[in-house]
Amino acid sequence: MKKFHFIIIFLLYSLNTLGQNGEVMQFILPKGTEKLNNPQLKSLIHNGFNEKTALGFHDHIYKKDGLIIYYQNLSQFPTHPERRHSLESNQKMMVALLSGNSELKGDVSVVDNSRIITVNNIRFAIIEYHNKDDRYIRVTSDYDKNGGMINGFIEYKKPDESEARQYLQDILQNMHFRNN
Amino acid sequence: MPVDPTVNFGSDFKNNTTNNIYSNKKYNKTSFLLLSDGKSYQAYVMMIMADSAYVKNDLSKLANNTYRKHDADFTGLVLYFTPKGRYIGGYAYSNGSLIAPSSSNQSSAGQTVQSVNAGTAKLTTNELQVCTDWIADYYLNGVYWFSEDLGTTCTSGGGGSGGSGGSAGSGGTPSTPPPPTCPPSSGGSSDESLIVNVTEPPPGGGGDGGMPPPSDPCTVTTTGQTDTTKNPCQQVAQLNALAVNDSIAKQNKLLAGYLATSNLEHGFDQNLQNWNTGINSSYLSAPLLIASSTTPNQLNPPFTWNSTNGYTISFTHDHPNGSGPSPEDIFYMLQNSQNSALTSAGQQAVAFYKANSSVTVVTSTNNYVVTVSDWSALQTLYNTYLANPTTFDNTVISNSNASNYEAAILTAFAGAITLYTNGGTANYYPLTVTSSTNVVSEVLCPQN
Repeated sequence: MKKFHFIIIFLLYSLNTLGQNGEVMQFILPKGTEKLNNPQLKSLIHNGFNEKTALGFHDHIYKKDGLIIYYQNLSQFPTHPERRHSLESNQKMMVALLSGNSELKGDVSVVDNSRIITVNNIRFAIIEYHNKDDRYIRVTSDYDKNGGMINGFIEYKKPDESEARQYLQDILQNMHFRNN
Repeated sequence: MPVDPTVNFGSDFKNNTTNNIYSNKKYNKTSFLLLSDGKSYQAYVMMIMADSAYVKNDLSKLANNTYRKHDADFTGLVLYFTPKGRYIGGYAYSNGSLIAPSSSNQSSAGQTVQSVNAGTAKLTTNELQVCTDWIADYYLNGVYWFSEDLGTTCTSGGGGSGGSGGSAGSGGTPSTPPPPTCPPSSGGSSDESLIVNVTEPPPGGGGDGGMPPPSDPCTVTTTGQTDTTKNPCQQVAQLNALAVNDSIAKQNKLLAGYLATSNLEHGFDQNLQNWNTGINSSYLSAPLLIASSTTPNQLNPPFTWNSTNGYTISFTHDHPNGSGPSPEDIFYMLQNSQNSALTSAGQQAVAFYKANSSVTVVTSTNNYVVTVSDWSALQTLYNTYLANPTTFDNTVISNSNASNYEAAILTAFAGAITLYTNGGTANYYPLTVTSSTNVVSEVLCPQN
């Protein structure tokens, strides 16, 4: 009897330099950032972080001090670039959904501010909001030339707000599209 | 289309006994397939594992092999999986030719079951059987995750896939991977779940002929349950025709205009003059509905099913915030299907409503239309919604926040609805989502 094994490997990212192997963005996470595995994430969730949001990003979750950072790569309508939603319309819709200004009857968050900024010629929609004592900075990039985009969060508690905003700046400053 | 680039997918092919690596993970390519037989859609993941003797260190040769074509000298394996990772089956090629499948230890009811003793060569009726166990090892982040036993294939006399190099070995002749082990069907005995893989002949044969299609022996197609009126691509023609219907086009144009001037939702019922003359016949004029300033996102459209006020087959409205159809929009069709005005009109009227109802959402960038593809599934979801609307809607909002609204709605209503968009053009197309990645893409319909 011969035994053959297909070894199927999902290559992800163990280095601090991200954006390799098909990722939309290339960037370096600030020093001291560590990648979380599932048990570590669950431990954080037990300590008060929001499970339902964080678990949706389990492939890309990192921690630094009191911050949890997670993101995923997205693409939309790859065959029809002209049909992509603009960053402005995405921002408007998400602010409406989060703040209860829609037909949906979900929990209402408080949107503290939202804005569109340009860093290194890349446009980002930033939404800062909180739900009870969970605070978030949501970052959505514009599309790259292939229709790819990045959607990420920094989750933190109120005492870590300054560090969260500085972390955002540090990331955005060195973000570059891989495909443009 | 290539598999979502967020996940890099590699594989090695190894003889577990000798530890010989037969293919390199650089030598494989994974694609996402969305296939239509004209009636429904099936999604598959196709993995092409090229033999190193074929690649000859020229990785560009991988691009020559797709679902539609393969090199005349392609040697290697083609494996099919469901989007959720369940192995469906595979094929082996040597020098561009499909290798005939070896026998399997699996058998349909009533057929002889061959050796199931792993790890041994077995003599049966004067013939030496050389059997091979096929096992998929899955790794995540380089760490062993789990193994899946794909089954066993046997060949006679030690030739073919047997031989010195081992099947699929570099420079050797690959043997055909086994069929999947099907889960027991409900109510059936375990024997009934054992099925022999019946491979279909490759299109054309030889090079450039494309790969044999995936054939899932675990999927049983029942007849009489497919509502052809709900075939998404067939419905596209109907939606496109409705979009240029004078009454419908006028309503949607007005709604697009209100988006520029108001944050209140606006809408119209779409009331047929006669329901038995078809969906694209005359519509009665319907009054403009405007949400109140205290509830700017809520419209309560009336439903009528009579000759005086018309037959409410659809409802169109705008979403100033730009989102697609809400759960409440979708459940509106279910509620109407149970409205006493409709049900008292008889089963034919209900059937007509269910086959033709829709909800349209007009946004500043594009229009959406949602139709129901499975009313029972929608009822189940509605029951869940009624138990706790906040929880149901929170899931949609969270998923939308994490990815995008279309993905969130398609995921929440998977199997129950079809979501179309026109992308701001004159033509609608159905959308689909890859659940593992939240990537929304267009279903490519055959050109009419």
